[in-house]
Amino acid sequence: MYIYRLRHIYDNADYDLPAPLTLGYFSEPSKANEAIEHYRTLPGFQDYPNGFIIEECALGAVDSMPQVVYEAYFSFSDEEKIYDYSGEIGVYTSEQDAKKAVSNFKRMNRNNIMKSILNQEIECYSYEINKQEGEWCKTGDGSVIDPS
Amino acid sequence: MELYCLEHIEDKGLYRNVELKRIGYFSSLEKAESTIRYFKTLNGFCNSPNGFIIRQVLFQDVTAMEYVYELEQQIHDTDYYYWYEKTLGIYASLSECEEAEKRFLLLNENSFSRFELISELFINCLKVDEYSSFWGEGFDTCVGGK
Repeated sequence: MYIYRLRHIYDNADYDLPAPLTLGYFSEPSKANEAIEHYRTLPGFQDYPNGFIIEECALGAVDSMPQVVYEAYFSFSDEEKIYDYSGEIGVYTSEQDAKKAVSNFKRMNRNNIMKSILNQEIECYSYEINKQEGEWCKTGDGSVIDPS
Repeated sequence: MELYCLEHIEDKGLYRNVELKRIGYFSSLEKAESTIRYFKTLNGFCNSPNGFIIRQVLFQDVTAMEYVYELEQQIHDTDYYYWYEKTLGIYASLSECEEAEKRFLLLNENSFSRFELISELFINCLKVDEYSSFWGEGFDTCVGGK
């Protein structure tokens, strides 16, 4: 089963750009396109109306469309956030699986990147499927799972 | 089955555009760790010995893999002042990867036709349990990359 992640990038700015923002996860491409039309009406997004990217994400063996997905990710940065690198660990249908993936990532990298001097964030965020926010909010519903 | 993806970033915070170096995919955590020990001796990598990242990648309904196929998107301006890359998916066969590429282009045909940055898609093929020859001799940190 696939779900569809909607991202946005500042596609015509002439300055140093951040990585794309995740805006949400959708059950069908048509729902992601509806969300794009909504976001295009909002301040900020109006200036970059063509910067939306839809990505498919495989959920593996699941019987039905989940109501919530959990994105596990890592981010490494310096104090000034001049240096900032983030990546995805995975997208999961249960909080338990997401926490397990975060723990595995920490275990595998305790002698590698986690020994670096960079600031580290290795966390999960929950996203309600097909939810459109009135304003951009990284967490969808604002909740942060404590992976500890 | 599961593979272990090994990557490297320079962890000294020298550059705004962090370059991710994909070293390879390995069939066991031990093989990935052994490769790290070797790469720590190479030019460039030895200056950021803690910059290695291991990620576990799961493949449904796959029991053996000789090659991995990555679908990668690069977004950049004409001067490469802004540059961003993302792996959109990792596949066990070239045909699966090509199908995913077609679906991605179809999903985004309205956006990309009006995109003011350059968006390019690449398919990378890497042999499991072999490191990328591109980084096999290290890299020169003085010029910010190989």
